[in-house]
Amino acid sequence: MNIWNWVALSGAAVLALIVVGAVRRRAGASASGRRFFRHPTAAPGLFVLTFFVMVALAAPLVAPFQPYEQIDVDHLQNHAPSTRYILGTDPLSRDVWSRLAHGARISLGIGALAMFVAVTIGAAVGATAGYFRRWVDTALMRLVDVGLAMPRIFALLVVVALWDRIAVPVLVLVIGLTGWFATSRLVRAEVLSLREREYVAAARALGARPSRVIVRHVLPNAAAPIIVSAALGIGNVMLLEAGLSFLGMGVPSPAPSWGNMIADGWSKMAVAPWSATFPGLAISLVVMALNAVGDALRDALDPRKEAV
Amino acid sequence: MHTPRPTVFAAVACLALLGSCERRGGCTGDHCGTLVIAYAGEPDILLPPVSEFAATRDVTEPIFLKLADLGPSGNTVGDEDFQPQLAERWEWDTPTTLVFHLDPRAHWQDGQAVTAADVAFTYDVYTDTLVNSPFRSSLRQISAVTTRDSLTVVFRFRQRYPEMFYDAVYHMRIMPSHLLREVPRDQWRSTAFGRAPVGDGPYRFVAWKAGQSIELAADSTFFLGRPYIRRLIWRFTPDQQVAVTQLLAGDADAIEVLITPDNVQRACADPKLACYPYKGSAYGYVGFNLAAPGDTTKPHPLFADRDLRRALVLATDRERPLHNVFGELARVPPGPMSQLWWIWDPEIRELPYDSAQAARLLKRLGWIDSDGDGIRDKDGHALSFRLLVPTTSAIRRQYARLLQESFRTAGVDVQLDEVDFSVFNERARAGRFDALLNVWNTDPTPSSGFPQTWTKAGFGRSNYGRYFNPQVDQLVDRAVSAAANRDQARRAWRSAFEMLNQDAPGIFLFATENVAAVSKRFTDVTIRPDSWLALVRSWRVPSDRLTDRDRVER
Amino acid sequence: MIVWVVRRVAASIAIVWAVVTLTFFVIHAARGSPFLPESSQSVDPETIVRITNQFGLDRPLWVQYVLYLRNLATGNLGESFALRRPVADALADAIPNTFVLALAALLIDFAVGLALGIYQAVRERSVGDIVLGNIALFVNSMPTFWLGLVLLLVFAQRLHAFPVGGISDPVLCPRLDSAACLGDFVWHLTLPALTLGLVGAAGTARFQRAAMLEVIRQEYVRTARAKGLQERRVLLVHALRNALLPFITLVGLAFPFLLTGAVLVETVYAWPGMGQLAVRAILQRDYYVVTGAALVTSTMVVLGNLIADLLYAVADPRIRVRGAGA
Repeated sequence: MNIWNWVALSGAAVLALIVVGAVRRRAGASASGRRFFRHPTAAPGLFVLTFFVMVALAAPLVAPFQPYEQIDVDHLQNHAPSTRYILGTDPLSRDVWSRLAHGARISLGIGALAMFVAVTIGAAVGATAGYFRRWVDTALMRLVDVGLAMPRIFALLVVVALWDRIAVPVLVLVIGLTGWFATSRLVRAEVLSLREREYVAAARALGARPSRVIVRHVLPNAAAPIIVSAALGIGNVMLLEAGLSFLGMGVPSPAPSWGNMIADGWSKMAVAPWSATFPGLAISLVVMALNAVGDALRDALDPRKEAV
Repeated sequence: MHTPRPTVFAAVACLALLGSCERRGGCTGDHCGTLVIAYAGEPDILLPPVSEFAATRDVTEPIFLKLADLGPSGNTVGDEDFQPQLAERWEWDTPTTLVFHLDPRAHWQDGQAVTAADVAFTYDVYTDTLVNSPFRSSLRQISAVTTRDSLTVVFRFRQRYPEMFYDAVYHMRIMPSHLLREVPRDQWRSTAFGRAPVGDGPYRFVAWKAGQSIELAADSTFFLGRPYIRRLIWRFTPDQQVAVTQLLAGDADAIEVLITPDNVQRACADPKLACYPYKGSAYGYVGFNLAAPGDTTKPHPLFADRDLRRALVLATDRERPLHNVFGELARVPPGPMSQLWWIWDPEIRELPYDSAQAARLLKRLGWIDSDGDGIRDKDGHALSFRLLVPTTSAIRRQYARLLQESFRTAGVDVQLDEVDFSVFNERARAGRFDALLNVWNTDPTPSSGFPQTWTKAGFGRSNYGRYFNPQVDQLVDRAVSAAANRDQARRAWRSAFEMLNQDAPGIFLFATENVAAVSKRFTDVTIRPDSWLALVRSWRVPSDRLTDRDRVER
Repeated sequence: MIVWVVRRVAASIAIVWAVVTLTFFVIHAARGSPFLPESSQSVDPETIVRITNQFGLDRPLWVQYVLYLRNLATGNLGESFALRRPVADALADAIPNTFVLALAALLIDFAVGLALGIYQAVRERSVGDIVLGNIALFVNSMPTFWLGLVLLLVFAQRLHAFPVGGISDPVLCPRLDSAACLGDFVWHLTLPALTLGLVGAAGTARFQRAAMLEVIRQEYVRTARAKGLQERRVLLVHALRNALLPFITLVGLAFPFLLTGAVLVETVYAWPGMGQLAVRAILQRDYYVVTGAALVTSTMVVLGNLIADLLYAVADPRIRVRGAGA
């Protein structure tokens, strides 16, 4: 790590602090915002998330080496953490910190994108089922039951293994396609209750098309469970990606992801634990932050508490 | 509320302790002992004629006997250095007729005597096209095997050559004809005998728990001497690192190869383990597919071009990746050979590591980076290929990543196809790959393995890349059969290798030096490099060093 | 009530059938003739002929599907080419191992989670609550296989307190035939069950803490306190009973989690259960095992949900009165 990397890293940390501070000030204005920050883990969680996102965005700045660069395969493999390689090197003499920073892009990116796919599909399906009810509802919810009956990693493994080579975008799509079921149930429940509200009935009376009613009136108010499940879902996707990489079927080499860093490093766990430990810690921290933020969001956006 | 866990743990500990108390007593004396071998992999079927898995060879070694076995010197020429096994003696009626006299004490573990009919039956099976044994081509120089009486077998050869005796005895493990005669020849790969074999060797088959372990027990009536160790158990692990971990934790007693330097260091420093270095019989390489993937009638779009292959070999530094993966425990081979082969000679001419020359050659062939993405291209196609690697080998996966990066700096894009071992084998056999990272465990001499992998005789067998140079084939023939003495053979082999190296059908990456580790309580441990458990019946545990596991009586 | 149970059971069967059908068609959509190994060299011709006849591999797709279902009904789930035995046998060997692991993990999950959650709820906002809460959050956020690797490294490799994977000592206990071997089995079970159970326990603790807090704040508890009962009785009798309701739903949710986590944990610890069987079959393209495993796992998930729903209905009279569920 040279001086500029440290500058960039500190910059990221400071920026994250500023962002959290700003959000806190803005949130203080509303009741839900105050409820959010009443959770002691909400602010630290937000900080961790922002920090890692900053690191991911500024990866080339904070990382002294390229993620695929094998610095000196002869002599620098499995090097313990030092001033030059602050998190050590992996068995292929690649700088662990550089891979961690660039891996943040891929792991967080996969998490966010897959979740986006899942939430979009889940919201669409749930809203449709809740709005139209009757046989549409029954049919779609049976589909959801089937989807929930198969353990997600199992379904993922079957799909990924069926096709010989899987590009990262396809991986994202497939992870998203296996994860929308719970969201759809949540959205459906919200939509069912919202359906009877005055503004919705008014819109329907005015002859608005169902899609318009759903998108303009129902979904914005059903946003709360969507946002919460999205926050928690990203963590699940990251854990899934790590599991898939561990089994050899995640992001292909040489692109770094926190999951395949663990897979690459775990055979040397006994003598060089840093290459598998730090990515594991990173995943745990980010997922922990997502859980904390998700919990806080759930409380903050809970409409039942609006009246209090 | 008090969590009950501490008390549960104590109860479990008491039970475990009680269990160990119960077992004191049991076997005493010289013929006790249990050897637990940690193994990464598993046999497919315990029937030697139909399996080329190293795991099968290890497990069937103590179950089935050969006519004669290699001696400690490992010399495969002539017959002086071979040890009698099923055959107590032999003589040459003519220079191409070999007569074996079977030991009358030899018997199958169901009581029947081993007869010459078994030997003739075995030869018939090994050469039967329906059985399709991977060893069939190694026996091509034998024209017939007949019986003279119940204990006399006659081998007839097509011609004289130095390793006749080796070919007659090494490749075949004698099978019980009375138990296998009725099995249809095309069903050998799935016959029940292969899951519960009956042999004539020092150890009997006891049990096979699929995916977990195989157990063999000593046959106290073995005619060449009762084995000391009472029981052999193989524990199967999903990969090498877990096997090493089990060894270091004391859950296993022995491992065939430690492979990496840190494993060797940890095992040899362990006070409970003893290390045994021995010549390695494995070599690893990247093999190019000279035919189009999945269609052997067409040439490969990239690798049919000899110059391109040469450029790729020139562009590869083989020393540094070897040092990364193996430390000092392997050497770069001067061609497709293992350290065990007597023809090992670092002076054999091969393509050097010369990245400048490689760059010039690639440029001359028209591969230049016209779009600035770091990868060379020509006519709109990038210089890119897929490397097939089995996920079950950490060594190969690491090499694959090292090579991927080193090729990238030379402007070649390599994508890794990491698949399960069984899928790897299927794709390799079917030719559905661009390049593959393979490891061969070789026989003690090149004459059986080399033609199978690098000549036309290997098409449809181990010559996955379909490399064929008629001059190389001729030289190999000369080296194997026509050479009148060792020097001539050596010269022929050397020429063959040098010619092959110039054709660059692959990049020859490493030839291992093995280090085995066995628990210190085992004495008289001798390891033969071509088959490390060949002499396991002389390993023993002195009675003052017996542990609970050794005393188990069943 | 009976009507409700019958409807739920029928729905469950339909779901399992749908999963099997989906798996069947997805596998067929991806490759031409997936139910045969890619290279027939490793399988003897007689097996191939037998499978082709039994499952109609040379007939149109819908015929294959019907034959598959019919074979399923008679207990013929096909053959595993990698293991060279009928799929039903391989599953029969593997399922009890996963079941025991899941059960042990569930016990640890609930025991630790319940205790932790209640402790935290009672000592709300104390140092203990905050520290334990953060630890629970951290453990709940770990990849389960990573926790398994760490536990293996520390407790098995370094401290030699537990065995390094596997289900039994192959020398001393090839069969479960004595008290000592039972102890050996439990000793092998400890680390994998802990790995699965602790991650779940952290989640359970968080959930239970929230549920308990919600109940504690409610009116009737204050009423019970006003009656002058001992605080302990108040907690254990009133609050717990009501907080247990959502707890039961956790049973249903735990099943999919355990099956998901079991896949990775079994691989790390080489535990010969269904997760490991399924993963290896998928990697080796052993498709009869894959469909068989899909059938079994979805049955277990659906069964778990069914039991949870039944328990919930039994425990909460409001559900029973309402009758027909969603």
